Amino acid sequence: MTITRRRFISWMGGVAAAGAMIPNVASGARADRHFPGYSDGSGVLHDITRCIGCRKCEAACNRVSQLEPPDRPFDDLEVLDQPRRTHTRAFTVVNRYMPITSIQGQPVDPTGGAILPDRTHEPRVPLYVKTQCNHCLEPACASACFVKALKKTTTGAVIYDASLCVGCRYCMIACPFNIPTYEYDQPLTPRIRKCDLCHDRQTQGLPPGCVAACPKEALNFGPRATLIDLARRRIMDHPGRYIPHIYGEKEMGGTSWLYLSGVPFAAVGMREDLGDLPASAFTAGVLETIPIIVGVWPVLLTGIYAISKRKDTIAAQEQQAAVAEALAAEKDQSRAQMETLKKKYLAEKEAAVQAAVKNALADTAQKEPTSDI
Amino acid sequence: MGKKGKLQPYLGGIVGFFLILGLLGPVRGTPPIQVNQRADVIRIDLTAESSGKFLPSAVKKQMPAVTFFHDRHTSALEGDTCRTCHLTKDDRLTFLFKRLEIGDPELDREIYHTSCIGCHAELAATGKSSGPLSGNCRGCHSRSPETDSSWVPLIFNPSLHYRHESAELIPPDPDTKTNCSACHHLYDSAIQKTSYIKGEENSCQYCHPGPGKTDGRLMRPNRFGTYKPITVPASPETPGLPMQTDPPDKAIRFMSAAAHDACVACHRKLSTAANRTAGPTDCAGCHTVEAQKKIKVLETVPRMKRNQPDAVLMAAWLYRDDLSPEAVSIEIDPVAFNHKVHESHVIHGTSCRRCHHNALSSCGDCHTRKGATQGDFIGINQALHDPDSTRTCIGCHLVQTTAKSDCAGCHAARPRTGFGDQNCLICHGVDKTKLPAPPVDKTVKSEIAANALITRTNNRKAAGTLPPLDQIPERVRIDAMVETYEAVDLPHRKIILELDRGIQNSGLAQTFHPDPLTMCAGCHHKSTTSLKPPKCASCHSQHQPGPGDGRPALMGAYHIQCMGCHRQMGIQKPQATACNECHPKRDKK
Repeated sequence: MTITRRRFISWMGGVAAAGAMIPNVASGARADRHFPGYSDGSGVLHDITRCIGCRKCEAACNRVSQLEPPDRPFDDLEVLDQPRRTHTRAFTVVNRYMPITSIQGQPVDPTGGAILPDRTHEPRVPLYVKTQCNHCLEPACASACFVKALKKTTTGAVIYDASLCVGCRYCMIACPFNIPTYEYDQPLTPRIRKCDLCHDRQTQGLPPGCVAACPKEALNFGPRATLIDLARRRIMDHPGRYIPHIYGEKEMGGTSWLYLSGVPFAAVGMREDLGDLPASAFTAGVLETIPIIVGVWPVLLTGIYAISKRKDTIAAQEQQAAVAEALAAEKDQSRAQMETLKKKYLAEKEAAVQAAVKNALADTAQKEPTSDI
Repeated sequence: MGKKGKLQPYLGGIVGFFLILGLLGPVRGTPPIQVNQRADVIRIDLTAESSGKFLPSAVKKQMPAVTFFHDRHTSALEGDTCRTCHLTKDDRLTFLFKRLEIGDPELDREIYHTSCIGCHAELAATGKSSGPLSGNCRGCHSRSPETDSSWVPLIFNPSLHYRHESAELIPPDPDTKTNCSACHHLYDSAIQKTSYIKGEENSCQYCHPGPGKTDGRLMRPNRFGTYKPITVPASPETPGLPMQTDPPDKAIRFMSAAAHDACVACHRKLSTAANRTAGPTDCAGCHTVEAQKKIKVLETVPRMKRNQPDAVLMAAWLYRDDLSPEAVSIEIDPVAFNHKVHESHVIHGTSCRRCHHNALSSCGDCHTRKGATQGDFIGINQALHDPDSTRTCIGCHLVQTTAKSDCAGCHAARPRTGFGDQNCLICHGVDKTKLPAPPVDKTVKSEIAANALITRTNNRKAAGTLPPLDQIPERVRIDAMVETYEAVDLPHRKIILELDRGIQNSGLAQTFHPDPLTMCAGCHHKSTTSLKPPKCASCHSQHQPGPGDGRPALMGAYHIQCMGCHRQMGIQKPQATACNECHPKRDKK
């Protein structure tokens, strides 16, 4: 039997179908499993209704992270006129939003009042939202990083090790919040830059720089579980002030930064389409099949190849043997035939000779009568 | 000078160049979509009205809905009546176009096409400008209507009510010499007719249901239909409710249909008769914000007269004569309810329906002790106390605490108060042991309540709303955290006097701040009221605390409280980010 193209493809189809069963089972198990974060992992609760947009957190971040001073000073609040994103020189930015002032037709005060039935025509009030790394419980950046330069620590921080980084910037693509930034202006030693939740300060028992600087306590630092309790208590105590949702409790599998708001989060520029699964849940199934593919497929394919090759060899050998046998039989037969023919010929020749001798003897006897005797 | 003169032509040229650029700019860019706002927009959409008679596949093939401007048509038809377009049934105007009910969409379309285009063609034949004619389909069926509805509901507030009540144009009822009969009527099932009964005037919406009670399709303005009310069987436990227990043979119309038939027709009739404007007859006359701003509002509106009491002695058990003294002993003291004051405050801008939402009767008529069908099984206790409803006593009072900026400064910062946080005896203040033995006459109860209210007001006035001024620190220096900024010099007494001004303006606040020190708790919260409350720093640590108990640190506590109150009270200055205006930046030497 020989390998035809058609046969090979049909085999591969069968193998692929069998292989497909394995990652499905694996990813199903992955989606069910929920990692609630490290038990003592810390986080920050950002209460958007409290933020006044003073940029003290930005200034503190710049100071404790030892970043270059910005082009415009931190007390210049006109910077807020333009929407900004995180930068290699700014791990956190505050943006201003002018959102709606009603929820489901009910007028609300987004900065923390109750329902305002008599103040429906009030001008829209600005809201401020601080943006920085959300320190996901199962970070997309870390799952995309194939050299483990990004790592989730037990303190809650997602930290970066420049010595491992190869500069692929997969983390920037993976991050659903558009947080990691890259030092494009450093041709020789570019790094990924982002907030590390002041990991070093945390190890000294200090809160992150931004939290310590916030005059309005719009930022609370503490164990993530405690912050969720605190957020729930605030929602219960002030049902008119907040929408009943803690952003980051479940988004992308949960983040260490949590947010409270008086308006839907989409109205203050936050993504509401992320779902509750961590990024790794989407890739784990595929990634888990890679060891299977790497380990199993070469053996399998080599085996298939070897088996089919061996079949061919055996077939060829059998054919050769048969041919040889047939040839030998033929030879024997012809030889036997020759022998018979030879014997026959010799016999005929002998007979002829004897007949000739007999004839000659008879002739001689006739010519000379038996007088001599 | 010479140099300047030479430059001028160039300057002119440059300016001209930019002017031309500026003129070209809008042409080159996409022009912004101009959306006009009109109050009289009606979307004629038979696919939506047919409610499923068109298959979804057929809906796709339909022309886009027609955007119809009602006022443009009524002004063109000046002199003609509503009957040009609307039919009458039983001498009442109906509010569908040229038909009595929504029928087969194909037929309805024919009615629209024949009538609209026919009228347009007639007008065009006389040489007048008219609407789109046959063939100009897109003249009516435009896919992207550039006009948005700016329709707003008209609230018939007590001022408008009184202006109608006292209007000379309206012919008064010959018997009662009042204008009431011009609008108010009751349906008499015996003679199957509506008639005016003095002293039985009600809110229109008790019988004519408003949009809230109907399905979504009819919530749109100007699409009228008819409505059959749900009938409630009368029972010995539920007297009252004559309108609902007598199902009328004819269908009751929606509020919008009834109001337009009554109001617009009357305005038209009186305008013609008196040769002056009696009231708006077009959509924009009532249903735009601009028009409503022009409506004269009387500063003082006399009380509506509907046999209502000034004061009511309220307690569910008071209305039961079969209770033994033992049973009464566990009941709570009755409330002396100031009906008159609530009328003037609560219904201002709204109507009696704010409390009497279904009928002008006692709450207990529907909301029985145990709850009954006619009260949606909401018992009297819940009907008066549920803090989460805006219609109950407590619920409405809670809304008031944050509705006015005078109150919101302190109250918006306070956590949600539930039923358990209420002080029962502030309302339930009439000593039941001093009541006369039952049965007590209604007027006697009312007198007892009125006397109790007077006593309470006198006691309140005697107590005052403030402690003696010399016991209120004039200025408070906040210097516990001086580091980047200097200390704050807080004008403590000025703040208190300003807050007290708000209390003086509000009877509600005076009633519910019975102790002169109550107001101090706006800032000095969490402890019992005292002239020497604990310092902020006593509880709020200067250092970053753990978030465990939700207590802000000292810096956060000050900023949250000061800025929160300023924001709620509408105090624009100093801005929250103007740090130096409260505490100047410190010179570090």
